[in-house]
Amino acid sequence: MNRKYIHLVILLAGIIFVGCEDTYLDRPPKDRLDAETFFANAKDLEVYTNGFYQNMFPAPHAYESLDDADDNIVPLIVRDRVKGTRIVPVPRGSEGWSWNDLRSINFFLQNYHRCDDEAAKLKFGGIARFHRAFFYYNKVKTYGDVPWYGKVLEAGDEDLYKARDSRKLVMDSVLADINYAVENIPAEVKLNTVTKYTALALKARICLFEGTFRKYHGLEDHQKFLNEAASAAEQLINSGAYRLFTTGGANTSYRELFARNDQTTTETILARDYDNEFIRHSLAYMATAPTAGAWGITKDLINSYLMKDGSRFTDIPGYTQMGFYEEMQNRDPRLTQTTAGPDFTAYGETVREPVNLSGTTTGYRVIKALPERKQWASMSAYNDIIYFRYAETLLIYAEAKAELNTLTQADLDLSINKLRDRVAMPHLKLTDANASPDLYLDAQYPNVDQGANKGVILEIRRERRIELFNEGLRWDDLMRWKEGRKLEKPMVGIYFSGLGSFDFNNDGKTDVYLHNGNASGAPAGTPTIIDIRQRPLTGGTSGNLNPFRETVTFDENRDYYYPIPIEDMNLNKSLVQNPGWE
Amino acid sequence: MIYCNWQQLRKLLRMMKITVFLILLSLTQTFAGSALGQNSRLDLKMNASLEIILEKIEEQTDFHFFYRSEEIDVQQKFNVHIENGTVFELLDDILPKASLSYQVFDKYIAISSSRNKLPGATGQTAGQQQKITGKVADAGGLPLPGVSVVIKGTSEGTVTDAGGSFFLNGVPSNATLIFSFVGMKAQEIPLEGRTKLVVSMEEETFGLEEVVAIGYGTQKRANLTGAIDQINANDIAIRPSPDIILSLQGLMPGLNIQPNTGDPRATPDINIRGFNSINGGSPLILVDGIEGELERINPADIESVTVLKDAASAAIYGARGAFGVILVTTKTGKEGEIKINYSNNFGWTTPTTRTDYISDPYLYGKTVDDALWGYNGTTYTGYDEEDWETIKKVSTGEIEPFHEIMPNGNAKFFYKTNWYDYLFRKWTPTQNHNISVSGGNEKLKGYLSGRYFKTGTIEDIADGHLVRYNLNANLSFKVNDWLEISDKIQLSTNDELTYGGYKGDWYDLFNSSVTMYFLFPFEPNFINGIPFDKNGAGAGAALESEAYWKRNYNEQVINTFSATLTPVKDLVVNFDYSNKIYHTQNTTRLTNFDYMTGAKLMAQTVGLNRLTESRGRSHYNALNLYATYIKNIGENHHFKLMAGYNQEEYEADNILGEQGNLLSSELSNLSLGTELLRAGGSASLWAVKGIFGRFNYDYKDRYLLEVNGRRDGSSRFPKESRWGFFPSVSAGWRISREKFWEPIENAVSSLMLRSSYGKLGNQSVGLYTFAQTMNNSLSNWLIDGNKPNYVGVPAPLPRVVSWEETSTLGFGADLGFLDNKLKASFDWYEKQTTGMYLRGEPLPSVFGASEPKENIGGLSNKGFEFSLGYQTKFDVKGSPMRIKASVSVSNFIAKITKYPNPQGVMSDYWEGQRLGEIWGYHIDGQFRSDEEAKTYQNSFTNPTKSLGQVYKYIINTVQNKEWKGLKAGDVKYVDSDNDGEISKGNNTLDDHGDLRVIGNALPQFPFGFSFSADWKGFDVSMAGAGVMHQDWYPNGDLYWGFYYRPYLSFIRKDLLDEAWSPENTGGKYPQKYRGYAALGANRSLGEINDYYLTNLGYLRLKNLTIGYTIPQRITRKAHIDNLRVYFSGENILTWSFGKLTRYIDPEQAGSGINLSDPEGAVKMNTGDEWTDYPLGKTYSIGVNVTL
Repeated sequence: MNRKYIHLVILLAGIIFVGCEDTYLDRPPKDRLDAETFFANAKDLEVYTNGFYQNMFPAPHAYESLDDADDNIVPLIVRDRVKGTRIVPVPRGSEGWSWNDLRSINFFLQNYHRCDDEAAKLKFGGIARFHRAFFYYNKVKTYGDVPWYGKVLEAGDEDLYKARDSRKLVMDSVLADINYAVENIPAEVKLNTVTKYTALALKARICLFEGTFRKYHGLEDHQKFLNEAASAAEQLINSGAYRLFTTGGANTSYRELFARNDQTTTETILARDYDNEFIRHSLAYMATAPTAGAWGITKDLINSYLMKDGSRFTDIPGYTQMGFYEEMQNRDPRLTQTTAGPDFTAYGETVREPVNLSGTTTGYRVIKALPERKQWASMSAYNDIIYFRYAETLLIYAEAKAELNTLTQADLDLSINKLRDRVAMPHLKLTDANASPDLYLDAQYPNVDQGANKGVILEIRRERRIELFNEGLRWDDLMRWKEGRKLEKPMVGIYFSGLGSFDFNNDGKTDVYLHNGNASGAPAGTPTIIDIRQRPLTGGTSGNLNPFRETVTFDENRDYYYPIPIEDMNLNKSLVQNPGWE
Repeated sequence: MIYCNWQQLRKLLRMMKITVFLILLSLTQTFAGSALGQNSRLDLKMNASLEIILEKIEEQTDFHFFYRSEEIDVQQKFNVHIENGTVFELLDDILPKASLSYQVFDKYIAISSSRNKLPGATGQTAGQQQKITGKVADAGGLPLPGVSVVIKGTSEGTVTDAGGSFFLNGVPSNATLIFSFVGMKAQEIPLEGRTKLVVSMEEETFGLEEVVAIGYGTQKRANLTGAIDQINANDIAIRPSPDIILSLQGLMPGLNIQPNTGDPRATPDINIRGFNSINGGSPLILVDGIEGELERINPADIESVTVLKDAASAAIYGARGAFGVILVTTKTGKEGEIKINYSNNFGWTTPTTRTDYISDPYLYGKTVDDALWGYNGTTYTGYDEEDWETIKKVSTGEIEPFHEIMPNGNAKFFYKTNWYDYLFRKWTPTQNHNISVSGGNEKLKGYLSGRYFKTGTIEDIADGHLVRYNLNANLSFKVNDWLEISDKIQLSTNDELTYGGYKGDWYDLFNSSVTMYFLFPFEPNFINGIPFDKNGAGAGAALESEAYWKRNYNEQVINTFSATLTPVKDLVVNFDYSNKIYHTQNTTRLTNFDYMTGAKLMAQTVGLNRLTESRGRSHYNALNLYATYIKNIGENHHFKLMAGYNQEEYEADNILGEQGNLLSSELSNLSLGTELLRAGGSASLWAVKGIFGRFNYDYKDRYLLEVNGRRDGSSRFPKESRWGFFPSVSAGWRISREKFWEPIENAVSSLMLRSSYGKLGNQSVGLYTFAQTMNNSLSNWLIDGNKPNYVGVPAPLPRVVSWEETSTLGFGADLGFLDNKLKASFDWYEKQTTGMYLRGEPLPSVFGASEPKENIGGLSNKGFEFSLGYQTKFDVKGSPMRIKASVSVSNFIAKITKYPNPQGVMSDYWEGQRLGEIWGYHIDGQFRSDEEAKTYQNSFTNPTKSLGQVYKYIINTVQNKEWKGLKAGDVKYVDSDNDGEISKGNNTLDDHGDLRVIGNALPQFPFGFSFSADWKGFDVSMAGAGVMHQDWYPNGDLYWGFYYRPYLSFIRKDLLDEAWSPENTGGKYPQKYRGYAALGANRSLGEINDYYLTNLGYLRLKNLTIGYTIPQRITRKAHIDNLRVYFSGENILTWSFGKLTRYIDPEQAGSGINLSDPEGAVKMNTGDEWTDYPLGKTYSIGVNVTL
């Protein structure tokens, strides 16, 4: 080949390469969806809303998501909010002041109209609004007034720097969202996704919270929310879609409901499905591990369980110095389905467990939602976790009516007494309750409505605390009832009359031996030996186990809300810190 | 001696197998008439018959003689006298006297009558051929062995023997001989009829004529105007490491290599000249001109490694050169004889740190109990006095370990288990084998090599491994005088097998709570032969049964076709087209296993039954076309012009499948699954292209100028901002070539001043900045038992995205002293990066996403590099000794010059922020008494609040009343701003409370050194590296032990020794009862302060190699050209400048700062990386054989 010819070819080739169209550099992604064209059909809407759940519903071992951060459970490490030692966080967006989930929801609501499937738009639009209502409900619970954003914020948007909106505005918007959800999501029974019924359950919860919060904190318009709460609950009850889970009878159904691996839709409205292969949680670990949760139920909750005949335990003379075996006798059957009683056997087992108090701070173990033994290790449990269940709706119905002063015996029979029936407890009688309000509860809730319904309201609160124990609602209850100072009351455990041997299950053998440094007196075979120098009692050598030996101060002017992070205050000068946190 | 007649010999030769004949022929070709392979020297003084003389020669040398007895009178006598002469000298002396001649075939010498010429073995020996003998010596007259002597224009030649002598037969009398030797100037000597030559080789002035690889070409080292370093890889190729990366550490100033872990499967971080962008980014690595990975190259294949450090030298790579460029040139076939080289290496690796954690069950139990007691007044062990006495006896060996079942059904344990030694091995074996063949002639050259590398892992129970194979073949054809075509194929595989996991999921054995917590020495690892783990994670049991394993395998093929054309004189056109195909397959298999757990000793079958398979394939191709034209005008003006085009595209596809409940636990195939858990995929792609050019001019090699430019486009950017232009210019002045220099030439033998300025782009910004894209993922919220798909919200779209730009100004000087034996080089640079693509101005968190990135940041980086090299040669006991030594040091300071943060929020960047600065509190020692502590605490009003940010744990959280509140031994924070509280203020620049800058987390003044020497057959070389200073605030379990979490499995022994107590008031840590005090924020040891800030500075002998080359006169007898045995040690000596515990490796702890990812240096986001796979020191031995 002629050299010059070759030369020419190379030059030409070069020119072609250099001069060719820029399309060589156009490389649109192959595995990602273009936001411009998404939300075209029902499937797009469904798939997008599937992403809301895992963020919106905290795992049961997540920070402050259950009752180990209130007065129901004393964990190994007591939470700051219980001790009154919260401090103002520094990093922006930290400790609850996070808004990422809202952006995700608003992005959906801003774009889902592109879909031309009207039915899907109504359904998934409703589901997105459900989540937005839930999001703002949590924000308002935590911070009071918060800024309302119904759109996706862009970097230059002035609204980034706006002040908080009023609680009224925000809660009215929440109500509008949840009403939309109720009206537009189909009435289906589904365990793991939001339905019309879930929306009703959430609406009832939100409105009860807001109604009672406003009532007890002296804010306006509480009746509106209490009415909404009652009507939402009533609508759900009347739908007939759910009934209480009673399989196994009075002495096992309550425990079975939570401990079983897989939920059913009998009573459960929304649950998170856990699975050994995919995803597990640590609830059982926190309830059993001496080195992690070491959960212990507080004595005042144990005292709140009625006797089997409906009378009050705390009316029994000398109840404060009653031994363990004795106090466990003839009580509301939910007691020994919530804590380990004298005859406790692990779920699915038949042999009675030796008494073991090492994994519980107060001596009262948490066995509600404790699955079979092999799931007790860290991140090993896969029993489903309930987020909404029918029993709560019943309780809301009764409480809202009671706080509205419209409660009737028929209302109680429709609600609270259904719960009583499940565990074969006598019915709650409106007139009896109001005739003699319980002094023990009255001392716990000094701010309770002092009107004609005081007695029944106290009983509804008792029922609620017992039935919904460790379902993550107790802190909110104390806040909305303005009973934060309840946290200042002692949180203690099992009573021991002195050092020496104790028989916890009345079989004639020593189960627990208390000593003050010399355990030599413990009979051979004693399963639990306690050195009271390590685990002190309230009265020195006698009294209640006292794991949480701190003086708590709940600041009425500060502690009903959380502080906003310092950096967010710096970045938005219009934000005003919550009172007492400045 | 073989007596036979010549015809018989020829018959014999014919009868030999053809292969043998070929070998013989090739040998006769390559050694044509040479005495190279033989011991050819002898002493002989006698008067004897030819027969006797030949016999004596055969005795003293390796030669054998053939002759036809009927043709030659072997009985005629000769008088010979030779001392240390060659056979040929002797034969030359006597044979002509009897009209005889000889010819050499390897070690066979045929003698014939001069009248009857033997058939020539080499075609070229016809005509006026003659025998040439000679001696080669260096300038000092010392004989030089191993000098290559080649007849110009042929592939024939020889090498001088140990005495510097050579012998060539059949050389045309008008031939020219080329003498070459490493480190010496090559010489061409025309024979002009001479048959004896005495050649004196001159040493090549250090580096002066060396040719260095630069972007799209080469340059004489002396004419470099940019900051470029090159090392020849021969010296560092054979080490017991999986790749060359760590071997480069400390060899070139400004090239920073950081190993993060001792895991041979991990790739160290590579960085050039520190930070360029907050956005991060790494050097562009080009292997023979195409993008590649250092870890995939067989170290023995590497010819040289060149680092382009400044903008001027990297600008030819435009967009991707901002972080510097590393050019790797691999070996190709050389003209000349065929060489076969084999080398191997066997090594054993052990951690550099102490690993003797507390394993005495008594001490351990007491320690854990004390730490927990201080927190909440309870103990872990629950042991009473009697139990402690028992366990003491177990500890001393008085009684055998045992456990007893207590009445509540729980077991109580009295064992003595060293969990660390159970899980991890002391010595990890490594082996490496390399073989290569190379050679060729003018028309065809080839190189072929292969490697096998295998190393185990530190896990002791199940044998994981890393195995690598490399195959490298290249061939080059010189088609004619204007076209050369070559092709190169590189194949590499990487096979990693790891065991690990616990009952719940896969987990690596290191860096996981599975092994870090609850492995108590007083608990057993086996009960009745079943793996036991009281806490129940089951890491040991999973290993014992090899139930959980992970195999990562990948293979890569690169094919590069190249053509070089020289269409007209001085114009060279290069074309190359490369394809890289990469395939990866990762398998994770989990099966059920048995173990025993809990205080109740429950035997359980646990674990998951799952198989996860992922497969990935990527394809990359690159096309380079460039031409270089050289023009000299007159004698003094030298021009060089280069222009070219480059395009590259990349596309990758990955798929993943996961099945559960497989029908067999033995087999691992997706077809056996009964529950489809997951199926997924991903893809990525990008493309770049650019045109570039370079112009060089020099006047008399004295004034040098270089101009570069490149225009680059990238698919990562939106159309409107896709293209960028990146120019650079550099100039040099070789002052020592000036006339006025002559008077001082004796003092300063050379001086060159350099300067450069250039602008580079950085495109490391993520693949698809131009569109709002949404990912489809699987949610952990199951719906009806399945993981549903979900599509997430897209990240906010940035307003405009384009290139980050880095301008670099640099000055440098190269000096030579003592005839250039001592060379010094200094470089100073200043880099300004603008338009850094970063998170935008901090937004209130109601925004709901990370701030969209914008081209908004600025960064400056100033630094220097200095290196000093010395090489010399002198005689020791009559033999030459060569010595080479070098030291280098560098440093840089980087600052943020632009970033919108009007509020001065310190969790973000701010203008003027020096990268790496550590903000912390000042601590004024420890309280000496409880009174002092109490007085301090009470001197603050409302201590809960005013001391809460640092003592929250001690004042509020601790539940043990006795230990609540400050005590003797606790650290004393200082209220530096006297505002009555210890706090961070608003954590802004205006109000940062008591925080001060207390140190800098960046490595300061990294340095390196090397030394090598050889004498007779011995060689020794050393290489070291280190940093002068680096501040580190300790974090993590291994450092803080029980102060972090009381139930830590591995507690270092020295921690307890240094805990403050009334008896040990010198202790640096609080009393041992302060369990959890270091766990996190708001804790006295968890907040960053100057008391525990530790200097990680270190000096480390990275490598020491001692070798011995067995003399050729011995090895030649076994047909071996060269045989070297050596011992090598990696990381064998370390000096730590600070007071760091020996349980933590300073280099590994320092790797928390990744120079390719400055975010960590700003955020002080100190991870737990030092609890990772420990760095190792390796001892190895090996041989190196050349045939």
